[in-house]
Amino acid sequence: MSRNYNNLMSRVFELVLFGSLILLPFVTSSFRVALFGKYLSYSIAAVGIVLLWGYTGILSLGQAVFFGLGAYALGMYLKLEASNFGLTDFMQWCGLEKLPLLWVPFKNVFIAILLGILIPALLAGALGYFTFKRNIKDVYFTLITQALAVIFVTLFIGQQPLTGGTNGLTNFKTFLGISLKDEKIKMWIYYLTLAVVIVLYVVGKVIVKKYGNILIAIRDNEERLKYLGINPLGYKIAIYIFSAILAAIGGMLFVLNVGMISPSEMGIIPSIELVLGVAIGGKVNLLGGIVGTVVAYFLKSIISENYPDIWLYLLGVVFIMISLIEYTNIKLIKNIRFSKFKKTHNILKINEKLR
Amino acid sequence: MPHHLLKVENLSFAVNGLTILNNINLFLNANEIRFLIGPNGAGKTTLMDIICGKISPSKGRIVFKEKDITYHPNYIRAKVGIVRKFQTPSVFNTLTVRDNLILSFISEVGLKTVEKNIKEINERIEEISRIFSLEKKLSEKAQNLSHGERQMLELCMIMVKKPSLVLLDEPGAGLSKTEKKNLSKIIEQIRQNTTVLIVEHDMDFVRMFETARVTVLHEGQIIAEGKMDEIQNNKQVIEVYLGKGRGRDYAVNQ
Repeated sequence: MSRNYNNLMSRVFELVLFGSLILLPFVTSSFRVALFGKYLSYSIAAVGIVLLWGYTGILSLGQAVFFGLGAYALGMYLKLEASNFGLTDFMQWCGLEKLPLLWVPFKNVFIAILLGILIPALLAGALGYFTFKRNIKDVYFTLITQALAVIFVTLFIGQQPLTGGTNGLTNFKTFLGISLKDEKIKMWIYYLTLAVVIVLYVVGKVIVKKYGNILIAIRDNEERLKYLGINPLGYKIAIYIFSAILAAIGGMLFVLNVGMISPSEMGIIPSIELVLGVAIGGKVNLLGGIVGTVVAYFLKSIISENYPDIWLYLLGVVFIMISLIEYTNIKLIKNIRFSKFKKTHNILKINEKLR
Repeated sequence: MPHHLLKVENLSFAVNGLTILNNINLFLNANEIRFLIGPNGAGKTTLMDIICGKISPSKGRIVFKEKDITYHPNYIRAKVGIVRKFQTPSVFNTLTVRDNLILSFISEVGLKTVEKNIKEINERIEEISRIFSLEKKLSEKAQNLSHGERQMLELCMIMVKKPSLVLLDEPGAGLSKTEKKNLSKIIEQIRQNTTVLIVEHDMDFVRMFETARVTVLHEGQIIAEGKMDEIQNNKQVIEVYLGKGRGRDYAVNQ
């Protein structure tokens, strides 16, 4: 009964959420629509974080790295297209005379997209293998992922002739010959993003349905799982790779929606913001992760439009609040259970005495 | 010479120069209940850890069903039939009792087979949960069960796997007298197809098993082995447990 009710409610929420997102371009300005396109591209990464953190209990504070790698891959293609597949503006400023070898494969849009998925996947696979295999987990793994974010930001800023440095990649003009500045095209990019969100949400649901219990078991008690004869290593690496791929796809759509990518999108703070959105929406809930992320970034836009300095402080406060609420929630539930147990226990005793 | 299910041969374990286990030889037959007793720090849990693959020995080997498994990882050992129950109940807290048991089935026959035969598996879960008095708790989350119920759930998960060797680390700890009696019945039932190796401190619990053999461990060495009544009168055992001089009084009082 309650399971059916829950299913029905989640169907209703899905319809309301995706329905209103479909109708959004008809009720608001194209400026806001493009912003929502950006939020939705973050929410694709959020789906991966729900699976990785919420279900499997692996907290990665470096998801923005994968997001950035995906974004850069497509951004490199767009930049080449804007420069007629020759030297880009920043390369000329840096005195390069020939297109760097690293950039050559990105002349082809399919290879660019493929590499945008493959590189994050390989990076996550390698990092996952070497850490999970050595049983590095919890906060130690989280710290490693933060280090990853620092490394990549430093690397991308430092390699200015290759990456555009602090400014990153900007001034894209067309995508496959279609102007990116066109209002109508912007709307279609928004719909493309929404469609990808819905498809990947459904994929996420299928994964949860099939492997959800195993992932939760890894989160709850990895050792018990091993002593039952299931090796969690493969599942952990697979889900980490999958979350990296989702982040990378989100990054690609981010570039199309926003029209730029810079190292500031890859660092620790954007990684924390991604996790924050998921925490707001409920970390063991795919739909909640999407809603939470859209809401969090919407708030960020509103606040930073009006009070640009406050956002970071607010971010900190919200993060502390969420941790506190989580902790007290658990305590509350335990106390209620305990008092319930006590009551029934007393009743049993009284019954015994009456006999 | 009969084939032993498990052979622990010349096993030693040392950490930072400190010898925890010294030249242990332990042989278990099929369908046997064996208790491992000894004072604190004797090395009982370390021996369990080595048998189930949590740690590797410094010397010696472990042979299970005539195969050397000394360096097999824990999940492979679980696959070939060595399953361990921990001292504090170790279950999947946020999953329901049913899902805990389904995972156990998955570990045994694989995800695909479980998905295909989910109806039969649910029926089997209802059947087996009755033995462990969990049939009314199947939809409860494991974290809402009592300590005793979680112990039962962990045992139930282990039994689903039909292991050849079950390692139990103080299964009676924290259980009431009635629960202990029930547990002893369940262990007797388990033993019909399985060998059970139990670390236990509670001698009253050990006495509930008349046919069981007892191995006494002291300072990393086996000092005695036999039925409980033989062990009880063993001078060395009495000395170890009660200190020199008081041994005779203890033996008389028993």
